[in-house]
Amino acid sequence: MIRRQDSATTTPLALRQLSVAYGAQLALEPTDWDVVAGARTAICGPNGAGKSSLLRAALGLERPLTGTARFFGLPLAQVRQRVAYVPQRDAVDWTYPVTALDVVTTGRYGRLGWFGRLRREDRQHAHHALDRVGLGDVHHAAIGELSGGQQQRVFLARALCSQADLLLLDEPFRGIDVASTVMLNEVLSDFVQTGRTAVVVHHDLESVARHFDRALLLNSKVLADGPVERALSDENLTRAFGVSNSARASV
Amino acid sequence: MLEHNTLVVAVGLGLLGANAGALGTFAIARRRVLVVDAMGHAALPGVASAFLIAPWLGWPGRPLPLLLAGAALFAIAAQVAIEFLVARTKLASDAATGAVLASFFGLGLVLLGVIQRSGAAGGGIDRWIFGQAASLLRADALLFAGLALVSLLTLWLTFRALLWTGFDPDQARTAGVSPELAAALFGLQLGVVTLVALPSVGLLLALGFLVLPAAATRHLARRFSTWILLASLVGAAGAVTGALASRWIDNLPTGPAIIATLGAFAALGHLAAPRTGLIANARARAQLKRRLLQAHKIR
Repeated sequence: MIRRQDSATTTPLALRQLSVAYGAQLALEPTDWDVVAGARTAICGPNGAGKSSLLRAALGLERPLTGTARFFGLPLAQVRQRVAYVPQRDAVDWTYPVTALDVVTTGRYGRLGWFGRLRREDRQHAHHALDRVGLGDVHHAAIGELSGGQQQRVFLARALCSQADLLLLDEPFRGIDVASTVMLNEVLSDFVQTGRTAVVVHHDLESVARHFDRALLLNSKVLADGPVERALSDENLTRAFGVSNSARASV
Repeated sequence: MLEHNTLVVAVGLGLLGANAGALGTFAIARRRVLVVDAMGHAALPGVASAFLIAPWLGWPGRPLPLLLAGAALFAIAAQVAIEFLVARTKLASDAATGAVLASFFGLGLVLLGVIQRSGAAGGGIDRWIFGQAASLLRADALLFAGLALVSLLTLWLTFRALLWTGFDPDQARTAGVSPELAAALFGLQLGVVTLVALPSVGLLLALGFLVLPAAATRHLARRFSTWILLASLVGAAGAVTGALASRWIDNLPTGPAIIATLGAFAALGHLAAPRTGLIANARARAQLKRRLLQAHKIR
């Protein structure tokens, strides 16, 4: 699936001087960043560090103040089907009358456009993705009746169902139980085995150290970027969070 | 046996009811309910202005197209005012909607006073406030039928986009479907159906026509498609029942009769629905408690 080409077209996401401001308040300073293909990368940093803003501006959900984002060497509009985004859980209306399977099926909608009809193949992909996250037997449950962890797994299934090559997940691990955490880590690990790429905004530094390949450490600007043990070194973390190593350990 | 005109009125209002009921589901899910109310109320100064300027334009009587145009103009102005307040001030959407609704309606009542004082035949403007479906003509029924057909077809075509952009607008946008475009299409559709319903059910009750059928059936449906189907059936049934009741009972105005019927449907549905109704729920809970008490020998 992935053809060998120059690195510009195989870099899943490349930011050039991307900055974000809310009103006149700068949230992310001009940032250059190349996401490494075939790896799990965590975006870490304190609250208000610009982690979500970086993803949202790259995707055009916020208007960047400066700079550009390219996906696989192209503007997003030309490669939408290769990119799947999972927003934070509170960005979604969970009282909506839709079933788990309905939600996963929306992962196919991008391929269908405004008026295309669902085919049997689309439904099969959706069922398969739900099975993959261990929710095959609750496909008919209303989305609002599921637990927070199950809802997050449904969202991951939706992203898988879209057959994207790059997943961008905004805090999928926040407030979910152990079973769902294990499942999410397992699915992400399998996902990148096939050369595909996952970028995840993540708060739990210990979990990042164990389950991720690379990390981007942010605090309004890039403080570190690289293999996880190097990017999240004690020195870097102290710089990012403004709290000493021993103080962090006592939390 | 029904006389011909009663049949026309019943069929026309039934189709309008089905149409409004179907749209009401998305109005509720997308939280556009108050906006519908604001459009209804904002139509009053539009209708009153059209009433006042019709003689100036040299039009004989009070032509319906002119009144509808006035209503549409003010309904759109109200929408724009609400959007502006939400975008540019610290008012949340419910406060902005309330402020605009009240201001437009107040202006409408002032203009109404002017019309009545000038003696310029207040006759006819009442129907916009309370509705007067009994005088529905064959042409109106045909209009309702055509509108219902176009509107339901549009809903069928845009169903997926509406569902998706309402549930997760960010994800829809990244996949290339604009939530704003979907919202605008739906707002237009909602506006047209509301305006066409106004002379029949009245601007005070247009809200109920759109919202009650969907509210009555929300708890019965796990999926959106089921909800739309149930809401349009209830909308049609309520409209037909109300129309017939107002024909057979003297001095019973049609709009209020329809809305009261729909309100009764909604109340009954929530109370008595099998499995999901309040009564069924309370009984299931009591049963569970009895079982626990027995099983654990609690006293």
